[in-house]
Amino acid sequence: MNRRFLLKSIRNLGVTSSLLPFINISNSNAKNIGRVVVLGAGWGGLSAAKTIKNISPEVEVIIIDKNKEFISCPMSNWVIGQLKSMEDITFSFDNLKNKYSIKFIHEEAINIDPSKKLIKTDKQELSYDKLILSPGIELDYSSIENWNKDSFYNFPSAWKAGHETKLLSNNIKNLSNGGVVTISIPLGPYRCPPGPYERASLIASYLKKYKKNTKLIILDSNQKIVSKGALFKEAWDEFYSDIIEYRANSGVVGINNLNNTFITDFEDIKCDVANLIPSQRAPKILKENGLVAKGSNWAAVNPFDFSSTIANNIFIIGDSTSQTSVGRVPKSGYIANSMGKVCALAVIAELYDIEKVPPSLINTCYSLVSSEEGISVSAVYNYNKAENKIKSIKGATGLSPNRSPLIKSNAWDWATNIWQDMLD
Amino acid sequence: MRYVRLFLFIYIVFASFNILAENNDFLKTFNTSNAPMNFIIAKSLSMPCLGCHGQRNLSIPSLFKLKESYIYNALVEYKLDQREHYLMQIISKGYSNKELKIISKYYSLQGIYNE
Repeated sequence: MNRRFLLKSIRNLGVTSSLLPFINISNSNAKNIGRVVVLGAGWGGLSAAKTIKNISPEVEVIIIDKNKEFISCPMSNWVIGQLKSMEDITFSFDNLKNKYSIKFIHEEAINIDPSKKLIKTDKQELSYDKLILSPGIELDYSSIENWNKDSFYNFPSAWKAGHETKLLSNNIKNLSNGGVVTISIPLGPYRCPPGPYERASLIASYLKKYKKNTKLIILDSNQKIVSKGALFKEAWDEFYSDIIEYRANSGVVGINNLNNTFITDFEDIKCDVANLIPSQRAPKILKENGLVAKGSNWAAVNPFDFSSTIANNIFIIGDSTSQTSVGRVPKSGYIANSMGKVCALAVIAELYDIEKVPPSLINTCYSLVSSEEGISVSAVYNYNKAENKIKSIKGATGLSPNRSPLIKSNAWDWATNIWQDMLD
Repeated sequence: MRYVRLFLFIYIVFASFNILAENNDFLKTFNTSNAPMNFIIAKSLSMPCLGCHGQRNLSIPSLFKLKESYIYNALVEYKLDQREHYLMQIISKGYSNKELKIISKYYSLQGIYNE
C-alpha cells in the first residue's frame, strides 16, 4: 500500500463529508434554463413541480389542471367510512404559487404537439422545453351495459376524489337499517390495488357500529383479493363475517339504472347503495396525441427517467404509465410521488446538461381494516440495468406482520407528511 | 508513525461503514470532485423518505436535524433486525450501508442549510 493509494482511498472515503454544504445546483454554470410545463396537479405532477422549483428556482414551472384545489385520493376512503370529512382531504395550491412561484393554469389540456414543443388548452397555447404528463386515470365504462352519463349518480365510482366521494359518503351515511351496499372491483391493473378492500373494510366497520342488519356485497372481477389478501381476509373473518359477502370472479357486465341493480354473468344484485369501480386506462389526452401505443391502455416510458418512449422532451409519470415498460410498481400515490421526484431530477439534468442519476423509489400503502386498525405494504425500488425495469430490491419488500392501531396513526400521519411534501 | 495513524484511520472508517462489502455501480459517480452530482445523488436517495418523514414529529418521527450517527445507527440496526419496526425493517434493507450513510448525512443537514 503506497502513499498515493492511501491518499486516494481517503479522498474516496470522504464522499459523505463532501455533501457539506449541499451546493445548490442553480449555482453551477447554467447553460440552458427553460420552461417546464406539468399537466396534472395530482400526486405525480405536484411532486415533480415542487422538486424542480426546490432545486432550481430559476426554472419556470407551469402546472395545467382544471381543478382549482387538490382533493386527495389516498385517504378518501376515510371520508366514505365516515372517519374524516371532505375538508380534511382538500387543500389549496396557494403555497406552491406563493412560496415556489409555480404558475397554475386552470384549464383543460386538449392537444400536444411534440414536434413544435407546444401544449394547447381550450383557451391558449403554451410552449415548453420539457413537458411532464401526470394526468392520472380515465374511467372506462365501455364494457358496462346500460351505462349513461347520468348513471354515476346512482353508481358512483368515487375513484377520483371529488364530488363522487362526497356522494358515496352521504349514501353510506343515509343507508337505512337492513340495507344492502354493493362494491364492484375491476380487473387489475387499476389505481390503488388495496383501495377497494380498504373501502369495503371501512364501510363494513361503519355498518357494524351504526346500521342494523345491513350487508356489504363485494363483486370482485379478480380471482382473489389482489393486495394484502391474508391481512384483509383475517380482519373480515374476525369482524365482519355477518356483514361482508365476498364474491370472487364476479365482474359486472351491466347495470339497471331504474332499480339500482348490478348485472354479472351469473346473477342480478339489487342494492341500496352502489359503488361501481370501473376498469381504468390512461386518459385520452395521451392516447389522442400518440403517447399510448396501439393496443395498449397505458403509456410506455423509459424506466430510468420516465421519459416517453414515443416523443422527445416528454416525461410521463404516475398512474397512466404502463407496468410492462416501468416494471412491477403499483399505481399508488406514494409511487407517483417518487416518480415525480425521479422525473424532476432527470428534467433538471437535461436542462443543465449534467449526468442523470439512477432512480430510487419507495412505496408504502397503508390501509385501514377497521375504524381502529391499519395494515401496510412497503417496498424500495431501484433500476435494474439488465432488465431495463424498475424492480423492488430483494429483501426490501413486505407486509406489516399484523394489523394495529399504530399503523392507523401512521397512516394518517403519512398522509399529513406527504401532502406537506407536495403542497407546502 | 504518520502512516500508522493514517492506516488506522482508514481501517476504522472501512470497518464502521462496511464499505469493503459494498459494490454498487450506483455510487461510482459519487466522488469528491463533483459536488453538484453528490447533491443530486443525495437528493435522489433521500427524497423518497419524505413521503413518511416530514418536518414535524408525529407518530412518524421527523428526521430533520437529527444527528447523522443516530440516524445511521438506527437504520443499520433496522437492517440487521436488531431494532423492531414493522415497516423500517423492510425499508432499511433496500439500501447499502453507504447509501444509508448518505441518507443520514442528508437529513442531519436538513433544516440547517435549507432553512
